[in-house]
Amino acid sequence: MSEQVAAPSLWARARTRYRTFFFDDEPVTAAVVFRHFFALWTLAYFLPRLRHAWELYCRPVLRSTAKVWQWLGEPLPPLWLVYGLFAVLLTGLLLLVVVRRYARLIHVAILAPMLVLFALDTMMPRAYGALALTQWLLLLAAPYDRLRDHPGGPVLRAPRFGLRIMRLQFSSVYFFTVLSKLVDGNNWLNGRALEFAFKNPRYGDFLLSQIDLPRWGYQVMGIGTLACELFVAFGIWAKPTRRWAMLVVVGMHTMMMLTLRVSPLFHSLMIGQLLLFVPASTYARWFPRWFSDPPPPDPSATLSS
Amino acid sequence: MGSAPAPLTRLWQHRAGRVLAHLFVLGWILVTLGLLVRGVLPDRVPGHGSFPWGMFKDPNHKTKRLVVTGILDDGREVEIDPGRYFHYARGFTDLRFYDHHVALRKDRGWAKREVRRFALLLAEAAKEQDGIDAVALRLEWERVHLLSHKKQRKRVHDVIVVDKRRYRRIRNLAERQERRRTFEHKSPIPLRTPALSKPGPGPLAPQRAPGAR
Repeated sequence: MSEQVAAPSLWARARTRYRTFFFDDEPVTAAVVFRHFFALWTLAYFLPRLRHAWELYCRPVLRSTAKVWQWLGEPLPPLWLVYGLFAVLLTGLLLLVVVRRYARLIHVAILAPMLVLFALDTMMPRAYGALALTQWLLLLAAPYDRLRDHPGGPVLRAPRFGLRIMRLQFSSVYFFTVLSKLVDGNNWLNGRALEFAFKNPRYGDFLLSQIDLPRWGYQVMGIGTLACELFVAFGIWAKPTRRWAMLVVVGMHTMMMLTLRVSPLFHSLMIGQLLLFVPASTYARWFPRWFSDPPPPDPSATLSS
Repeated sequence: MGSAPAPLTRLWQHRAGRVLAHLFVLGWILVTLGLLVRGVLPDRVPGHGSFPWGMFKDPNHKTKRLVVTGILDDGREVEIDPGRYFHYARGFTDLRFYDHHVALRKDRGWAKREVRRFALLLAEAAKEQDGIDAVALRLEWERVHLLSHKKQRKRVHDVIVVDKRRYRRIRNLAERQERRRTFEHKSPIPLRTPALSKPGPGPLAPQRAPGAR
């Protein structure tokens, strides 16, 4: 008589799924590549700000209106302190790009000046600045330290919870932006939102948005944008649709770059985060010299020796 | 697997590390769910807030520009471009820090103080760099409707940017001039006419009745 095996309870199945989703091992390639990209991106973010350090960080007027800041007595940093923070931060970011060891130590060391500079910034980009800071904090849990333990060795594997959270953070941005457009905003379904954005001489009226479209054209584009964002939020998680979702991200941000006067840093950050979703096998196929595992030892050769 | 353990794998081998990792994941999930619930709550319920990452949710149907007019001590008005003194602009736009600052949109005590300090800095920069010696600045928002192109100006504040003694002197002078102008305009008898400067009976001289000696 065959023994009847009790089906696992819903709780047990949920726990197994949770553990598999977050804590299974995964090659560290995506984390290592993203670390290099993100350090370079952050350098590109902070370098232009250095020239305007007084205006952005030490300006005595029209500063932060946050209550915490007022409670702290609205501290005004001296310029030398800001330059010092910049020096530490930029050096750390450069080191993160070039060094192979102590990456985590450098990461922790640059977090303090980065947080202070973000807090002192009187013109921090509301969207991508906050997202970049969030990703820097989440990156602490990603296994980006090193690709291999020794040259020629296999690519390391590690629990993927850090990477998973960073990916979830990326897709949650698209999910929430759709919700905010539909619930908090009220002009996306009728196309007015895009029309206003494109015709605004300060935000739009740029390259492709100078072309005048009929009202239905804006409506189609508005609904299309919402559909694309929703597709990215979920489609990037399924293997069959991942490639399409990545293409949609690239296409959408390229179109935004050609129609709106938003900083290219925003688009490059969103497109750059796709590096987190590229499978290790694809990295190994595209750049075999850097990311492929060494070939397995030939058993016949071992026997003959 | 055959590969040596990465640092996070080493952390995973300890119970404290595993607890920390679970807390990290659960923390992120809770924060995200909290943001979702906060946005879904009806407007009147305490704790309601807008969804995060809503930067493009509602583009404005008007474009606005801060217009700063400097008033010189002789009463002339000069337009001052604040973008000449503050250079950092967002992305490919010409948006400066003052274009978004909440103090320039509110009319409360602290906002007035902030705007006054901003105007003082602006006047100082205009004097140093362009030699515009303004005694007061008028800050206004110029809004243009994107479809009808209708223009509208709304005053933010008028700020006196010189010290009080100098401003009082200038104001008194201006008031005297204004009073004189008004008097000249309204009075049936001109205050200063060529007849007054000439010798002989002017229009203010007592009139004699015709035939009287």
